[in-house]
Amino acid sequence: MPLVDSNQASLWDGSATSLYRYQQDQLVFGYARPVMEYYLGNDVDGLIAALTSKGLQQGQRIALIGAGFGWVAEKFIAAGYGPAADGTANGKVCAVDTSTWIQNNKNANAQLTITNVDVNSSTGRRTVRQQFGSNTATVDWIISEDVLPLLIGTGPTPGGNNEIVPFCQNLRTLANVGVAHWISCGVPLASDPEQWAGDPRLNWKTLEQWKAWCTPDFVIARNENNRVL
Amino acid sequence: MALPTTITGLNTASSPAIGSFISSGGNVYLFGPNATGQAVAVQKATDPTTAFSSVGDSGAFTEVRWISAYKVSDVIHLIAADRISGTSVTFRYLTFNMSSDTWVLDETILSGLNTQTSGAVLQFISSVVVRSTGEVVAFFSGAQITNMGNSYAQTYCMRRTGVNTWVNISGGAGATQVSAGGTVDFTGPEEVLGTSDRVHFIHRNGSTVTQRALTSANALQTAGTTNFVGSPIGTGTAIAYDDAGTTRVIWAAMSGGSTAFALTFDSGNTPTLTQIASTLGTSASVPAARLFNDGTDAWALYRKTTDSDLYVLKSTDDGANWGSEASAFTGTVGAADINLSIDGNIFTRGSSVVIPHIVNDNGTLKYNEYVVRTLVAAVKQIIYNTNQAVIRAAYW
Repeated sequence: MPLVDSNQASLWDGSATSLYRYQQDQLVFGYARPVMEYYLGNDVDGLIAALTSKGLQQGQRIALIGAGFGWVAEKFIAAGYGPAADGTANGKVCAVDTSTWIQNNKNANAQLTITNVDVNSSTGRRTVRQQFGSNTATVDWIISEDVLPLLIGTGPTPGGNNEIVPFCQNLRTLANVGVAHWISCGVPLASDPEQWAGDPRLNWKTLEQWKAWCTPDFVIARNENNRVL
Repeated sequence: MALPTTITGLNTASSPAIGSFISSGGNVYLFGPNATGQAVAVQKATDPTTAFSSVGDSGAFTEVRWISAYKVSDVIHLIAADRISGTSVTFRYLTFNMSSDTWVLDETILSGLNTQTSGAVLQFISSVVVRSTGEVVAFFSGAQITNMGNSYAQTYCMRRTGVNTWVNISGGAGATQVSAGGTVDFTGPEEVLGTSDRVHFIHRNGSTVTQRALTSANALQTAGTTNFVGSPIGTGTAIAYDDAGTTRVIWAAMSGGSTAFALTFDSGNTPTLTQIASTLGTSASVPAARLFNDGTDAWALYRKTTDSDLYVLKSTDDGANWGSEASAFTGTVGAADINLSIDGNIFTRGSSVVIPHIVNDNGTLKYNEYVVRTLVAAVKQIIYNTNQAVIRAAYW
């Protein structure tokens, strides 16, 4: 069971416990398409640049895990990495998310198909391949979008019962070229550098700590100008 | 009496002093948080080489944290951040009239803003310009965005279209976000007035400095960025001035605490940013260089780490190159932004063209001037034409 339940509306709706909140005048938005650009900023440009520095090429197949409403996938397509996966061998970009809140609200917020499968299961991974044409279709890159901070796994290096290592291993069985994790990394509190800023329910680590957990995958610090290890 | 002149009654622990400015009556004014930090204070000197005295405070603040200013004739337009709590900031707009020595306007621009960075550091910096139409444009650190469980500081702008009427660029309620968003802290908002009432917004994140222009028709233009070597630190300061029809802009900040950088561009919707490295003194440090213009040349005033003194440099090519360093103030100036005044500009006092500045010298605030040049004493020039004689006083 992850650290937070991504099925819960309160995680997304802009309320006090939401992971996403944007205030515009007197209006408060949660994770909603009208303010999509403010949540993304220029982050995806940096992500693509980081991945291309590690070998990502247009024409390769990409599956984005924990894709929410597929906004990052849209940016990949806009940058020339498309088209969207459509169940045939022609598709290049697939957005995957299992959150029931995402699935229930995608009609108003998503433009792409949001595939509802769990990549921790072989059935789920097979379904991802099917988005690219067949049960045996190759998927070149698997990119997790801020999934790791939701998973259990304490300490700077792998140890104990955790959800991180199995998740990474499952992604590797699906990836033909590489696995990358896009992560909002921990930021120390300015007033107490021993403490993490940010929602205390989440798993905060430095990029170096995430690398220790996820090697040999690439890890990319979304909030550090997409620094990649 | 000789400069520098000691100033009492200001508390610059959390905001640098502002100014100085000279009025049409020849008096010199400076601003800053008052002694308790709970109002903006203004002080005046008829002769700044002798003493400044209080003219009066603004309305009450909870805690004045950062002030910015812009001079139009005898009116000083100010924006001041009021720290209400650790998660709430209010930005207020004030005006002070130097011809009547009165505070005039006191309006709330926006309140209840949590401006914290991802490291939970509250942001207070603002900047203000006044267009030729009289419209005030404020640029400030506004509401953070919560993004995947942490929150990131952002910058916003608002326009003043009437008394107590602050609107976004479209004329609607609320502010317009200038920063891009994402999981990025955007800080250090600074704006200048460019060509044809265009406003240039400059802010930074990490090692990146971004400029966006707001046209006179209030269309926000595409951002342009440049990357610094190391992260700019301290407050970036900027000037804009007319150079034979082209508005030149120079922005300066420190990088990594040891090297100053300047950014230059010519006013336009999407100007080309030119980074000028290794200028303004390689051993300069926080506070970042304060920039000035004397109508022809650009000047930088800055502190050096080696001796904690202040120095000046002049550029005759709009910031591309800077000349020889000259001493401006000898003392013990600490390495913090609050120790050197902002938003002043060169003025002529008596026969001297001076760079005015207020400096914290080892705990004592002092007003000082660097003399850019001395004017030849006034002489009477008689100009004859066919019908009349005109007697005109001129300075050479």
